[in-house]
Amino acid sequence: MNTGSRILIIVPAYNEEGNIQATLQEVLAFFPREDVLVVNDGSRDKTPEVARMIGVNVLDLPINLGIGGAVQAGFKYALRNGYDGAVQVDADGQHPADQIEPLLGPIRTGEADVVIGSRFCRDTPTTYAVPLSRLIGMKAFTFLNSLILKEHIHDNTSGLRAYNRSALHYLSQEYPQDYPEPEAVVMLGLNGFRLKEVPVHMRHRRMGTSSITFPRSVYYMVKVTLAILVHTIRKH
Amino acid sequence: MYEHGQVFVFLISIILFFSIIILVRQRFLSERYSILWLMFSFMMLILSSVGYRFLFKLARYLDIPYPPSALFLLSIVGLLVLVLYLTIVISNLASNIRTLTQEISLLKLEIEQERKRVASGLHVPPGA
Repeated sequence: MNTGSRILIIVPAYNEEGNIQATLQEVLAFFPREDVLVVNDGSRDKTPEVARMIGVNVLDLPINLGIGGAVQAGFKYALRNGYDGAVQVDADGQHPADQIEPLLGPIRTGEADVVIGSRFCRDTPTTYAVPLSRLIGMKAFTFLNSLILKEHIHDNTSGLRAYNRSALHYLSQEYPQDYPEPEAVVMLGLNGFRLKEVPVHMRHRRMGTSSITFPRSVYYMVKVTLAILVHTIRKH
Repeated sequence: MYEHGQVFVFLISIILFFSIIILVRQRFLSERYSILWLMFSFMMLILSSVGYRFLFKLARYLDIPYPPSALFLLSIVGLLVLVLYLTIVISNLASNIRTLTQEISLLKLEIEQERKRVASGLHVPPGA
C-alpha cells in the first residue's frame, strides 16, 4: 500500500439518520476518523448529529444542493486539505466498505484518474437485483456513453467512485447537479481523464426509500441525456 | 409559397439556435437552461420551415387571417413559459442567497466570539 497517499472518504447524506450510523461504522473499520467527511445536504432529520456523535468530520450545507452539489463540496474539502484522492460512498449502505480499497489501487499507482466501482463488468452473477425500469435506464446510459467515449464503461450510474487529485481539481469547478453520475463519466472522458472500472458488489439500501420516484426518474433521464449531448458540443 | 414573415422567422431561429450552441460551447450558458432554449429555437425552426402546413391548419382553426401570425402566437406562448420558468429559478436563487448571507454573518460572529475566547484564554497564567 502506498502509505504516502491520503484519501478522503466523502459520504453525502440527505435525511439518512436511520442508515448513516451503520454505514460510518463500517467505513471506520477501514479508514481513520479524520479522513471521513459526511456532507450533510440540508437534512431535516438527525443525520448531522448522528455523524458528529460518531466523531467524523461533518460539512453542514446551509442549503440543500442535491447529490451533485454535496459531493462537489466534498471534492473542494479534499483539495483544500491536501488529500491525494477521494472516494465517494453512499450514506444508505449500498456500498459495502470492503469494496472501497480495490478502487484505490489504480489511483495510488497512478494508472487511472478515476476509478468506478462497477456492478456490471464481470460475468459472475451478483446478488444485486435491479428493477427492470431502472435497469433499462442504466443500460441506456451505458449505450449512450459508449457512443461518445472511447472507453467502454459498463456501469455509468454507480456512485461508488474514486478520484485522484487532478480529477478532483476539474470536478471541483464543474460537476453536474442533478443525477451527476452518467454525465460526469462523459465530462471526464471527453476532457482526457483516464477512467477505469473495478468490479464491486453492492447491497440495496437498508432503511427508508430513495428520494427518486418514477416520474422523477424519467424526467432526470431525459434531462441527463440532453445534458450529455450538450457536453459533446462543448470545447474540451 | 413561403410568406416573407416565415422566411424572416426562419432566419432568426437559425441565428438563435447557433447563438445558443456557441454560448454553451463557451460555457456562458449551463446545460440545464440551454436545453429549454435549444428546444424553443428548434421548435421555431421546424414550424417556420417544414411545419408550415400545421401552422396553416392552426391559423384556420383559430380564425387567424394571416397564417404566419400563428407562428408568432406560438412563439409568444413559448416565451411566456420560458420567462415564467426563469422567474421561478430567480425566486429560488434569491431565497438561497438570503440563506447564504445569513449563514455567513452567523459564521463571522462565531469566529469573532471564538477568537475572543482563545485570546482571553492566553491571560490564564501557564502551569495553572
